[in-house]
Amino acid sequence: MDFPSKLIGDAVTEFSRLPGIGKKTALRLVLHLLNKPVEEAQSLGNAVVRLREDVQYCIDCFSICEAERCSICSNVGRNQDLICVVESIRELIAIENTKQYHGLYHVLGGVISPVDGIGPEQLKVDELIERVKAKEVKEVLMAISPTMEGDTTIFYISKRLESHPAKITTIARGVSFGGELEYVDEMTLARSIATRLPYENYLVKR
Amino acid sequence: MIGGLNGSGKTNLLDAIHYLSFGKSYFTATDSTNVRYGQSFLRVEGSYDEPSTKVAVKLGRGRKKQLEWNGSTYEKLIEHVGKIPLMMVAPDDSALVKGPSEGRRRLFNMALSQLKRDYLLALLRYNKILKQRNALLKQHDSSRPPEEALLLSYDAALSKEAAFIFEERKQLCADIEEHFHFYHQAITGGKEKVALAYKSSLQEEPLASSLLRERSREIILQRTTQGVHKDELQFTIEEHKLKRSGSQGQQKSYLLALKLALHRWIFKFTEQRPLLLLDDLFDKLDSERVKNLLRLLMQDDFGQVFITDTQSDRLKLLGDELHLEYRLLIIEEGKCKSFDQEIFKP
Repeated sequence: MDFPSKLIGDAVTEFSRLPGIGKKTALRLVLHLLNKPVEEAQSLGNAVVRLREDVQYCIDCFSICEAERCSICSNVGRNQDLICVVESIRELIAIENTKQYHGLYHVLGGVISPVDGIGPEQLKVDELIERVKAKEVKEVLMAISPTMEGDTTIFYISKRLESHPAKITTIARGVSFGGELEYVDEMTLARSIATRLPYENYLVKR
Repeated sequence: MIGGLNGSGKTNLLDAIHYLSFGKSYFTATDSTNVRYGQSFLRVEGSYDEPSTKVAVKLGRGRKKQLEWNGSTYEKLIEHVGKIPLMMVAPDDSALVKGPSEGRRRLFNMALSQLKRDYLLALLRYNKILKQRNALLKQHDSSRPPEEALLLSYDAALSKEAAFIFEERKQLCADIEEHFHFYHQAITGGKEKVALAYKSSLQEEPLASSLLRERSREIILQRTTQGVHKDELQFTIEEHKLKRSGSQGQQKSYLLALKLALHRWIFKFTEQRPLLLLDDLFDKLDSERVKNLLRLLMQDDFGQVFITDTQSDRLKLLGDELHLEYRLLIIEEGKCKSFDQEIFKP
């Protein structure tokens, strides 16, 4: 794609490097910014620069924050006995948005997959083990994708915590809310039947 | 019955039928080699009476292979496997006897995955775990061994799938044994004593414990040496290895009996007769055994059978002599030159 101005061209190139953004979308964004007051573009630019320069990782849970410790870890109102293990900050945000969880988090930074060169050393596993032991955590909740790699990671962490009294739990797996049973894939349905629950368990306190 | 000279496209036709059942060729694992030279895509279509449906496969360069059932595309190809059961016999099968055990395990997998989705899924999971475990072993060596807790995680996952795969394979062998001997006798006239044995380390002990025992060796070799990916299916004739002691014709007869037994096994459980494809009927067999085979196929009602041979008049003679119900197609340069409008009924 050719552009009448090198300035536009540079901006389009930068935007199109973002995930999910092609050349055309990038051009639309650039032209949009040109049509808006200059302050708007400045605040966008500043936000991006500050994001990269000021971002820190929480020393406890490795979530993203501005201070040494994230707002969740420094909130004494949260249940300190419960740690929820997630792959990335995306899952943390999703779980936070449910407002159903009041414990702490631990961001692993991925799942174990030797094929992709990711072993426990590349993840924050040792930090998790240390944290569970030091803080005498009572329950470790694994909120990790139900893939083969995810399952291995859960098994591995539970193995490492074998000698520690902390209870290991995983999020429930099965039929999703509002879904029609006939459209559920066979494997999920089979598992949902195998791991069925007494009905009173469904009457969750809100 | 399909007649035609060498290179006219007889096997190609059979392979197209295979493609519609499995979404892949019988002969090659590389899809791109199935596309005609100089062309950018392939498309195979087939109409079936039982079940009444149309199946189509399309494959374009750089595009994902798609399989359609009555016009609707499958999300995953494995959903289709087993819907149109099929058993193929080809001259290439001699590699099953002479070649590495991988081919014989594939024979198991081919039969079991047509019948049991669970088996296919377990096998796919097993292979995925195995790949991760091997990658882990590759990245370490005895001076810097992989972490035990991590290996144990893979051992546990692998053992679970292996136990299931092992039970299914063992059951399959037990199920087909009787028919295998019956068919073998029918083809050979009972002249040879044959046996079929399934060998797996899981017969001795569960996989988790043999993995633990072989730990240091596996770390040195940097790969997984135990498991159902090492299973063996032993073919013997007169208590000797078929590979060494059997003649070409004896090996072929053995494989035919085995595949017919698998055909019968699939039929027993699905109540759907697999299509039977016999590529190059006279390959390595004497005319007596060919006749025995065809009589057997009629007697035991094997359903629809596709047979190819280079000599169409020989096929016709056989059909008439044995009072087969058949239709003859002549293939020339990839096209069907002539075929009988009516099915010939004795």
